Amino acid sequence: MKQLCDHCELPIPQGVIIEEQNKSFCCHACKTVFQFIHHSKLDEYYEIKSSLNLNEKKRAQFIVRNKHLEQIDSLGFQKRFLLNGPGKTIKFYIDGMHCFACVWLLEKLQTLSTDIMEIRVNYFEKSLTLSIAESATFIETIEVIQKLGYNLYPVASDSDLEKVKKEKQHELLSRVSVAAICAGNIMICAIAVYAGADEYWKTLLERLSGAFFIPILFYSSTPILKNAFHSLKNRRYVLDIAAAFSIILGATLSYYHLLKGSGAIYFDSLGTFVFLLIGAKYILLCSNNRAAHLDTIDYRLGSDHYFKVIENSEHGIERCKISTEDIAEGDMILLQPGDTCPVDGTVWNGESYFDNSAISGESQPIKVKAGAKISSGSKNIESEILLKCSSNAMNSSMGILLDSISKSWKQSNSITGLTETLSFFLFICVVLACLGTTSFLLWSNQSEEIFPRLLAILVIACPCALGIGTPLALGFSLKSLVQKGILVKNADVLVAASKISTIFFDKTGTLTNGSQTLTAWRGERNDSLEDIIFNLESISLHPIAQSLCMSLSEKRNIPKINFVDHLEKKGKGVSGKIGTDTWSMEKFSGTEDNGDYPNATASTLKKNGATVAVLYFRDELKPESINLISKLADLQISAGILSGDRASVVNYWAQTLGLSPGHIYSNLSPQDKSDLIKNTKRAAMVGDGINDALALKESALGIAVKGSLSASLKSGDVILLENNLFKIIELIEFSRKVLNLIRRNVIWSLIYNIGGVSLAAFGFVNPLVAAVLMPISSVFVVFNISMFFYRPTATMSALSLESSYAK
Amino acid sequence: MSILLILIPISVLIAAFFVACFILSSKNGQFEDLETPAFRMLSDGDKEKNQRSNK
Repeated sequence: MKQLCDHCELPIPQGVIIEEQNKSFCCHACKTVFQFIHHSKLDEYYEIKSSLNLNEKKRAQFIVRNKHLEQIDSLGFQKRFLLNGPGKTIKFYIDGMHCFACVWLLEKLQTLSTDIMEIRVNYFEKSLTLSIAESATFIETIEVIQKLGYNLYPVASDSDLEKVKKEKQHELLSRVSVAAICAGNIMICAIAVYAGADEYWKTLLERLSGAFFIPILFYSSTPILKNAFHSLKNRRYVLDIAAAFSIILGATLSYYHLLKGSGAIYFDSLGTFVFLLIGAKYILLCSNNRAAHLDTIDYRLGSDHYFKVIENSEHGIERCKISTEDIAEGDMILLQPGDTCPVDGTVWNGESYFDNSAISGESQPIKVKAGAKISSGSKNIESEILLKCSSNAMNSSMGILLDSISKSWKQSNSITGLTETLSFFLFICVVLACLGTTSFLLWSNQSEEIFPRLLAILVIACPCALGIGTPLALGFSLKSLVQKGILVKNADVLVAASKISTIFFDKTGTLTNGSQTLTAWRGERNDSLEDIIFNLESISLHPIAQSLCMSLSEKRNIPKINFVDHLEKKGKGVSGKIGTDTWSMEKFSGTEDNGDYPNATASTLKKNGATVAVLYFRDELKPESINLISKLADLQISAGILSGDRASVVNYWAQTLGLSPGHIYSNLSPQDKSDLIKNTKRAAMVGDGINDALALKESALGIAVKGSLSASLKSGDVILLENNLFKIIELIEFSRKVLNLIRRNVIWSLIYNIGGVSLAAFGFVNPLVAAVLMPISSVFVVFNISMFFYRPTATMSALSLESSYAK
Repeated sequence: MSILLILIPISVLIAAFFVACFILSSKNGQFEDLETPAFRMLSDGDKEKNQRSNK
């Protein structure tokens, strides 16, 4: 094997080796650079460099598997996804964007080719809008983006829902702007009046502020009034009722006093109040809409081509290309290794292994022979078979499953519970205080005092902390969660996350890596044996062979060895000759049990028929899984497994993880999973495959892990943008903190309101004091919230800046 | 003080003008993505500007 330069990692040509400090270099330049780096104590550079190489290898693997955009330039595809825009425009959800450097990189792509008209990235929405010239094709640009390691999911264009949401957002922003400018002007008038303008100017300014209040009342506050009206009609108590009540009463009284020419007017405090309330609503709406486009992702992609076999009396057997949608019941199709079965069917001819992990979570490939039933979504991994289709793509088991996912809409439970009960309590208090004051004033013959005092009560009692604080806190938390790599689809999810008491995990691909990896090596092991195994296995498409090659080549570069008679026997193994020695890598067939490695698949390396080494493969736990379970126990959340795999495998991992047997379920169909989750209260589901999608949808909190199929992207409430399960802990802890913040705000506002209401009831608060006190409580709430969010966001943006400069 | 009688209507007109501008730009989607442009500005070096003007 040729030696590699320790700096540039290229092979060193013979005879020019330069050695220094146990390192070898190919040239003096490399040596000098190495010494410079070493003396500056920057040796970490080499570690980072090698880990980068590793990532590239993994990425390369990923691209091969990711074929769902191959048909993007077909007419049918474009009909579904083309947007209005310059040239041809498609919007994608982009997966794998971590920092701002990615935005920079992606947007720079438009300088590569003149075909690309525009690339716009929305960092917080995680979306990319790509426009190309009318004559160009998308596939080239998409391949470049995929090569960079990003994954794209097109967002359907015909979603009226998104359009409506966007319009609603624009409209609300207009209302906020009108409220802001009017309330600001009213404030200026009010200051002049309070500063002691003479009678002539006072009337004029009051009338002016009355005029400024008209757009606030009839334009800006309509969402509040409408919402209040609807909830009254449906007999639900929402915050907006109290707000609407004080707006209407305050406006009526103020206009009455304005016309009468005497008495207090409240335009200033009401205007500010409407502005803050509408502004907070807008911020929450924006955060909620941020992930909204995820619901329109089309996951029914992967429209690959298959070969249909037609028996023809003249030519014998004929093959023709057929796409997934055109496959009909009764057709015969060829499934090649690597193909995912598009329909349900029976094996007509041939033998192979099928990977069912996408459907059932079964970790081991299953052997199938002629006559065996195969369900859609399973993957052929070994050899070509002929399949007789018993369904088409739509009514196959997978098609039906996907259909039920898109149909079942998650019941949205608004911020109920705590906030609502407390504000109801507050409402009762206010009503009682109003009644008490009225009767007291009537009894003491001060009837002319009734209205001003009632209004003072209402203005003070307005639940600002609830009405402004809650949406503001939720809106900000969605934003900071995105920065942490957790995409939350709407604010209600946070409330659900803080209450979770049980978390169920899918096994394959969630707790474990989801692929068979080299676990143990029994027998002789050295570099030359590894070289032989790597080269032997490199011709095989079998997933175990591929994962073995990857893990061997990760450590070092492996030289090429040429074999004579290098061939793969399907279902048996690979063999080849070097000189007189016959080497083979075979499926382990010994009767000896796997001993320390239960549930492992074994292969033997044989030299001239004699066993040299036995290699064990198994689906390994993700490194963080064990710590995760103990961390969850600290948070007093019980963990469980919902898996479609066999009981023995599931129980083995449950034991390794130290899970209590009460929550371990195996042999579950997707429907079983979702039923179980539905019947468990406050349960979260963490999953990655199509088989989890239904359960994700039905659970109180569905968490989709990155690398997931897009069906689970769509049905989950939360999407982990990094493949790190610890994000779940972060999410739960964060949601609990936010809920505590909301609670603190509520308690503060209760104390403030009760104090204020009792003062107002006894006439200690005149309109001026009320007008000052009301904004103070809102300002305090806003201050409280920004103190909570300011620090993490500041450090985050500093980090993303740093990384953008680093590139 | 009577100058206010002229100044106030003028200021109201200016305010109305700005509200109209704001609503128009929000309809055009200028406020849909408030975060990314802030980052974009920092990395848009002179190079890209030159390239664009060359086009």
